[in-house]
Amino acid sequence: MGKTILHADDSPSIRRWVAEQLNDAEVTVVSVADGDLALQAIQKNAYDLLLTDLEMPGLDGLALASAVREIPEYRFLPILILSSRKPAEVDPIRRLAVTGWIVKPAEPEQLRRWVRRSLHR
Amino acid sequence: MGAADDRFLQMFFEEARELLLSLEEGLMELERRQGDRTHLDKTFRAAHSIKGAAAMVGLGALAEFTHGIEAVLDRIRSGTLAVDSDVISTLLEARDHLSVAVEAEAANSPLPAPGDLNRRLLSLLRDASLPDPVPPPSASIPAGYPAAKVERKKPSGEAKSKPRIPKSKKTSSPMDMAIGSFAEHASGVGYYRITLKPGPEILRRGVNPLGVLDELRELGPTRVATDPNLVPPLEEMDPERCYLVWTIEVETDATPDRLDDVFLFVADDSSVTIEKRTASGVILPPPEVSKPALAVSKADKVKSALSVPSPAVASIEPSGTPAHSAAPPPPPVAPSARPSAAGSGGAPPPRMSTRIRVDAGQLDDLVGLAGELAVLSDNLQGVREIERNQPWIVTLEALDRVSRLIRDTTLELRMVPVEELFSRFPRVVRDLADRFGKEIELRVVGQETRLDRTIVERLSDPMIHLIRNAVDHALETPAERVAAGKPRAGRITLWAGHEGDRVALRISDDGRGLDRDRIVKRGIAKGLVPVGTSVDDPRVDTLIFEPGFSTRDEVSELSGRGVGLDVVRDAVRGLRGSLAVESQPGKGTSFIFRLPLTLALIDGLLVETGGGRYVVPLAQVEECVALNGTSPALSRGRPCVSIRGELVPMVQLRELFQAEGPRPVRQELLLTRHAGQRVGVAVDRLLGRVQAVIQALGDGLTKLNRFSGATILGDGSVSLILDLAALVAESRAADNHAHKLPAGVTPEVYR
Repeated sequence: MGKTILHADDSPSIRRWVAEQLNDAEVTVVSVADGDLALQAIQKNAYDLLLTDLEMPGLDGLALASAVREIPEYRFLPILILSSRKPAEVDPIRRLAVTGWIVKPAEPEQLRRWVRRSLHR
Repeated sequence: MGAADDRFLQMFFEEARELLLSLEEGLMELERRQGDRTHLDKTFRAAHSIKGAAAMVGLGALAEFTHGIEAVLDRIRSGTLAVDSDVISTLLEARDHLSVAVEAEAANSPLPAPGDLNRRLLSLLRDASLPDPVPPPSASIPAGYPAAKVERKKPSGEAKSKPRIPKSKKTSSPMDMAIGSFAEHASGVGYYRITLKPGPEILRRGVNPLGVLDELRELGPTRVATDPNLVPPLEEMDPERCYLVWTIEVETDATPDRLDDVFLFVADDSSVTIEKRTASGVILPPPEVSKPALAVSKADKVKSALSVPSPAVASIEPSGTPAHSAAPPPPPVAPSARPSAAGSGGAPPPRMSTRIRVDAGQLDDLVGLAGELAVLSDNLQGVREIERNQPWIVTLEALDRVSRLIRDTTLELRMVPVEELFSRFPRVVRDLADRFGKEIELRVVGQETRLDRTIVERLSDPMIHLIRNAVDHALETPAERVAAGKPRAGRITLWAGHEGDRVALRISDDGRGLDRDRIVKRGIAKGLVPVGTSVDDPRVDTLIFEPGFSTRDEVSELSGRGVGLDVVRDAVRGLRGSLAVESQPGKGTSFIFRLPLTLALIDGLLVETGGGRYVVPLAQVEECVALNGTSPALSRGRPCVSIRGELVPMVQLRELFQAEGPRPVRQELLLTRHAGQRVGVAVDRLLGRVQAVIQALGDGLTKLNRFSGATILGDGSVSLILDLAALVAESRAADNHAHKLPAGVTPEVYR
C-alpha cells in the first residue's frame, strides 16, 4: 500500500535530497517550501507522515507540528523533525507534538529507517 | 550515486548563491532595522539554511564556518549581543569569505579555513555576559552533531563526532558503530534486560511503542512481557493513553549505540532502563544508555512538563507565529507530484512565491522557437486571402493569437526585477563610503521594474563602476558638503522605470557635477573636439565616454569622470542600450542607461540594398529621409548631405557592401547617431517594419562587426541584422568632428 509523506523545507537541495532518499515504489514524497504551504497541503490531502524543517519562512516547523496535531485526522500522525538544531535546543513544551527528531546532516540510511519505522513498514 | 551527488552539489551552489545574497542584504539592513524581528529572522534563516544544506551535501567545512555566522546571529536574536557596525562588518566579512569559499568548492578547490575570521566570530560569541555562552563553532560543528537525538555518554560515542561524509553512506555510520562495538565489548553477544515505560502522552505524539518492540526483535531473540493489570477497567480507560510497561529480554550483538537508537522515538518522555548482563549472568549497573542528554528522561520531570493542558496549543510561543505568515496563498500542491517537485517548489526565502528553475540556455532556445512559431503563423495568415480557405479563417486567427501569446509569455519568462541587480549595491556603497571617508545615503526607486535577465546580469559591473566613481569622486567629503551648504551625507539614487518601450536606469548623485572646463581642455588637447569648442557644447559631456579620453593619472583632476567610461558605454551598447549623462555644476550628475526590455526581440526596419534584405534595429534609427538622387556634397573629402540645413556625413551602404549595378534614382537615408553626431546611412529601399527574433550568428560570423545577428523573415528567408553603429564606425564617416551639432540635442550614444 502506497504511503505519502509531506516534506517541508525551505532549502531546495534538501527537499531534493530527501525526496531522492525516500521515494520508492511504496512511498511518495510531496515537498513544500514552507510551513504555511505544508499546512495547506495537509488539509487538502491525506498524508501518512509529516517531515519538516524547523526554521522556515511563515509557520515554523514546531508551530506547523502543533497545528497539524490539532486537526482531528492527524491526532496520531507521525511527525518527524529534520533540522540542524538538536532537540535539546528547543523548549520541551514546544516539542510535545513531535514524534521524532533527526539532526542534519543525516545519513540516508538513518533517514530511511526513521521514516520506515514511523510508517510501520 | 555519483551523478546524483553532483546534482545536489550544483543545486546547493545555486541555492547558496541566492542565500548569500539574501544574507548580505539582511546584514546590510540589520543595523538600521534593529528590533525588526521579522527581518532578523529572515537574515538568520539565510545563514541557517546555508549551513543545513552545506552539511547535507557533505561540505562539512562550509557548514562549520557558516555555523559561526549563524551562532552570532542567534545571539543577536536572543538579545545577548548588541548590533554595532563592528559586528556587522565582521559578519559581512565572514559572509564574503563564505561566498568565496562556496565558489571555491564549486570550482573544486576548497579554501582553507580563515583562522582570523573564525577567531573574530568566536570572540563575538565569547564575550557574552551570559554564564552559559553559545559554544564556539568548532565545538558544535554541524558535521559533528550526533546523527540522532540520543547522545552517547560513553567514550565509544566519540567515534560519532568525527566529521563524516554523508556521501559515503555505505561506510560512515555503520562503520562508526562497528568501531564502537569492538571497543565496547569484544565478547560480541550481550544479554540485556530492558524496561520500557512509555510516557502517558506517547500515543498523542504519534509514536507507536509496539514499533520499539519490533525493532528490538530485529536485533536478536527477545522475550517480551507486560502486565495487563496495569490497564484500568474499560469505563475508566483513556483510549489515547498508554498504560502498559514492557520488560524485554534481548540477546544481541548490537552495540550500545544501536540499542540506543531503538528508543529514539520514546526517549523523550518515556522511562527506559537497560541492564546488561555478562555471559555469567551478572547484571551490570544500568542506565548509562537510557539517558538521552537532550531530554528529561526522568518520569517526574516529564510529568511537570506534561501537566500543561492541551500541549499542542500551549506550546506555541508568541515568537513561533511569525509576523509574515500572511503571505499570498501559494498554488496548491498536487499530492501526486513526484519527487522532482522537490526541486521545483522552491523560491529562496525572501520571495515567497513558487518557482521553477530552468536552464537558461533552454529558455533561450524556447524564446527562439516561440519567435519562429509567431513568424510561421504570420506567414500562414497569407492563405486567408484564398477563397476556398474561408472555413479555416477562425482557426488561423486563433493560431495567430496563440502563437503571439506564446511568444510574449516566453519572453516574459526571461524577465527579472532589477531588484536582483540593485540589491547588491547597498553593500557596495557602504564599503566604498567606508573606504573613502564619505557619508552616503543610498536611495533605490523602482526596483520592481523588470528587465531581461541577461541585461540584469551584465549591467552589474558597469553600474558598480559608475557607483564607485560617484562615491570616490563626484561626492564631496562631509566637510566640503557642509561648507557648500549641502547636507552632510551625500546621496546616491538608483532609479529604474519605463521610458516608452525601453527601460531606463538612472544613477544620480548630488555631488559636484562634471567639471566641463577641464573636460573641454582635455578634449581639445586630445583632438577630440575642435579648438574653440564652447563649454556648453552638448558634445562635451559625451567626451567622457571616448576611449582614452582619460587615464588613471587624471582621475582626481577630473573628478574621476572618464575613467574607463568607454568600457561602460561599450558594455551598454553590447546590450543594445544607450548611455547618457546629465550634469549640473554643484548639483550633481546622472548617468542614464536606456535598455531594451528584452534582448531576444527587436523592432526593426526591413531595408533593401544591392538586392539583399537586411534588418536595422529601429532603436538605432532616429529618422528616415528620402534622398532624391542629388549627388552628395563633399565636406572635408567625405560625402555629406544637407538635412534641413544641417550637414550630415553619409555612408553609402551599397559602396560598403560593394554592390554591383546602378544606384537607384531614389534612395532612403537612415539617420543614426554616432558619438553624439548625426550620421546618415543610405539604403536602396525601405520595405517596412518587422519584429524580429534575434538568432545569434555562428562562430564563423561573429567577427563581422557589421552584423549583430540574424533573423527569420515572414516569408521564411533569413536576413542579417545590421549594426549601424558598427557600420558607421567602420566607414569612419563620423571621425571628423567639424560638422556642427544642432543645439539642444541631448548627447546620447546609440547602438
